Amino acid sequence: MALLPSVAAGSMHGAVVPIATAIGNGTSTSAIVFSNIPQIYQDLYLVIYSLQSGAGSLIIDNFNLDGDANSNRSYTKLQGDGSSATSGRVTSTTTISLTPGYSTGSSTIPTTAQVHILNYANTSTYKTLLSRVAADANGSGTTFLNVGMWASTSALSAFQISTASANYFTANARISLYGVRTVNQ
Amino acid sequence: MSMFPIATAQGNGSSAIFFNNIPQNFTHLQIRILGRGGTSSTSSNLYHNINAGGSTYSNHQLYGNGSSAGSSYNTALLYLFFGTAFPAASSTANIMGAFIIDWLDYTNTNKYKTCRVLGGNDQNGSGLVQLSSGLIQTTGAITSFFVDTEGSFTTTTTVQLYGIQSSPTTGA
Repeated sequence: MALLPSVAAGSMHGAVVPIATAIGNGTSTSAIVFSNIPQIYQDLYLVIYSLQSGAGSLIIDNFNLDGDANSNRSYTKLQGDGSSATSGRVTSTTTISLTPGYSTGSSTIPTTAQVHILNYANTSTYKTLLSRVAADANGSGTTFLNVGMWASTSALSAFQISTASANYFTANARISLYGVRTVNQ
Repeated sequence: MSMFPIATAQGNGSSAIFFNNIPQNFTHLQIRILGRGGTSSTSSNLYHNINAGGSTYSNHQLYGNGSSAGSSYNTALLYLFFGTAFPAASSTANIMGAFIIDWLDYTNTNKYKTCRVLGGNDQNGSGLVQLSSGLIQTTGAITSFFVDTEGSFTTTTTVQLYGIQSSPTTGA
């Protein structure tokens, strides 16, 4: 797994500033960790192009590298699978699934996700994330919305994106993390 | 595409949050809200008005409430209305709701204005996620707006406004 630091983050002009990009190594990487996240932005924005060795979920977890020891995550989801729309919820869990589960995940057909984590450095509020996921497989697939909550007032300084079911990210998988700055940042 | 911060605001617990004199030199606007309502309930709604106007507003919602998916719409409103948007005073402390609103081609004076909304809140047992649209039937450029909720936004609420540029070369 290659983790590429951003360049010249201090000389940015726009609001969306690249922080880091990770690429799967095609053999063994089932979790990509983003750590030491700069605390100087308003929001975080994650763009995921996922290709994994087999079907399975795409997960965000290990907040602040707690080893998923805390069941203080929950999420509410909305899914369309081509024939119906459904909604579900998972409470008091250790991970937040960004996809419906085993209906997605492939080494050839990508799952794409955009994840917004608002006010991630704030130490007064719990953290809320919004994600929008697309995975179309020419006759199957899903589109998926998710609102997730990490019940912690700690600033978010690290997390990981991982595959389930012992899959690994292929060499064409790419995950980019951006900071979204506001005025005076 | 380049996005630039325009302004930021916080809730004060007593009034709506206004943005005025919006620059007219961008192509699109994006509003990013992390909010919580002050009303004595476990949820509050988002109200969104443009140019302090009474024009005809309408919107559609596609939502999931954790047990079922649904869709709804509103017409002939004096503001855009997005239901069950934020936690409120009776919710567990510190839980917030998030909304991202995109207004496209907001300075164009030849067509009505439309927005795309992604938002939701999860309260570990309740909450709602939604993908919504909004329409205001005015051709006027968007120069100001407010966002509000029942009981007003708490002081932990933050609202960010961004402008999104097009490429002068390609228009992309």
